[in-house]
Amino acid sequence: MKTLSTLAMAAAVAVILPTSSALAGETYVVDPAHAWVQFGIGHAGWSTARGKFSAIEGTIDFDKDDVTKSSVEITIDATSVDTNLEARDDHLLGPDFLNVEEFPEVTFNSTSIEQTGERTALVTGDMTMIGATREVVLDVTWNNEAALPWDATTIVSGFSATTSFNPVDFGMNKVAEFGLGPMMDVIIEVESQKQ
Amino acid sequence: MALTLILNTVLIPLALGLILAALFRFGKLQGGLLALASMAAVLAIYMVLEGIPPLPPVSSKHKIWYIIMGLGVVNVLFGFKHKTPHPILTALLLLASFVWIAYRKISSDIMQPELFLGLIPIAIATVVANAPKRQQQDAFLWPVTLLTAAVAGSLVSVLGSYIGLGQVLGAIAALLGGFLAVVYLAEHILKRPVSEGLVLSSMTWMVTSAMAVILLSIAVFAAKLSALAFALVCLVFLTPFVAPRFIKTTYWWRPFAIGGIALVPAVVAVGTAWVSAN
Repeated sequence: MKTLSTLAMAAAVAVILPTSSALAGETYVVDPAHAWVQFGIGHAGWSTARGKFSAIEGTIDFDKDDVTKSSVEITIDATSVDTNLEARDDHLLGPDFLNVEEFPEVTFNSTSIEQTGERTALVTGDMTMIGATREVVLDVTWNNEAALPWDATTIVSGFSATTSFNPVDFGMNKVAEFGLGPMMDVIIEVESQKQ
Repeated sequence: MALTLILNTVLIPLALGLILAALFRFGKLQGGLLALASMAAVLAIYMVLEGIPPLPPVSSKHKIWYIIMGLGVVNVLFGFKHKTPHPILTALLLLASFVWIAYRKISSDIMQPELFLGLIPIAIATVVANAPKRQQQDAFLWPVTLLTAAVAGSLVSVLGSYIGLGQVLGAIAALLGGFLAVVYLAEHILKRPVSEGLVLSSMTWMVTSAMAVILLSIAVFAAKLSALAFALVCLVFLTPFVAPRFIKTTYWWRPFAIGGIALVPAVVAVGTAWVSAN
């Protein structure tokens, strides 16, 4: 039973991030209706400014026999950013921050996976944002896999992941001028459907 | 945070403007050297506000820095020959810059309105490059015009949700403010009239071309830019063609009168942008 859990966790990890090795496991597709990417960044010590992206796509190749052979590809539509204030979102969309006219997508492709527990793993990958690619490590937890209550043929696996990075590393130099940072925390929640 | 903002956007550019003017007015800087100093000042301002861009540049913002450097090199070469780049060369250089900056947008759909808006600063810079040399060498006419255009462009850009380049234009305004302060001191306080050399036209060409590149980038990429306000900012550049018809005096208030005329389209531009943003 423990072995099964371990394998399932490894598969979950693989689902979240893409790697070049591939397609040895089962394919899961992220359900955009049940995918959330939220971010938080310190605002001048007063609070943590929060926002989210609402348009997420992705594919996970989940190898339950060897989770390290799994892979994940996630693509976020940068234009879907929402910080609860239209004027701020307009500024975030512009060249000072996300620069969506030139770089409409944020992508993550896994490059390696390290299992850290029964249902957890560290997924390392290349994140590309505003034209810069940097290595980011996701701390992933595989939450559950089960069929939909109303459709036994649809298998859903759910994962939670967190990471943290400095936006300046991607060339987002304006964050400090606006009292933001230094680190941006990201929380990812995705449900994916087995194909 | 506020101190850094004031330092980077106002105080450092102001100091650079004072130094530039001192070199020009008291250092007897010749055309090529003034062109070089002008380029260095604008690049320094951009670097302080936007950081050192990577090579090769990744985004349009990065490209601006290298374009200004390229324009500056051309200007320096002409400056040492006591000339400024020909208007046709100016137009070609700026058009090439425009294509490089906006090629992703051009390749996706060349008929986007903001692309046409971005051509206005190129037309304006070409007209400026074709302005009579005597007019370009006026110690106040162009610097006051450029200062007013920079302030108006800065505010319109900020109201159009492009704060970064708005800051750069604001800093260029501070640079010109510092320059004008020293020239005004020499001309009207110390009573040492600025000689009409060829040198000032090099600086006018450099600052105008740099502003044109920044403005076209604002036109193409600002998320909420008011097109009308932007066009009105470009009209400010035509002040030197209008102001001399009404202002014949050489008294101390001449620069302020030029500024008054330049302010007409500038104020309307900012007001239009304000209404559009709210």
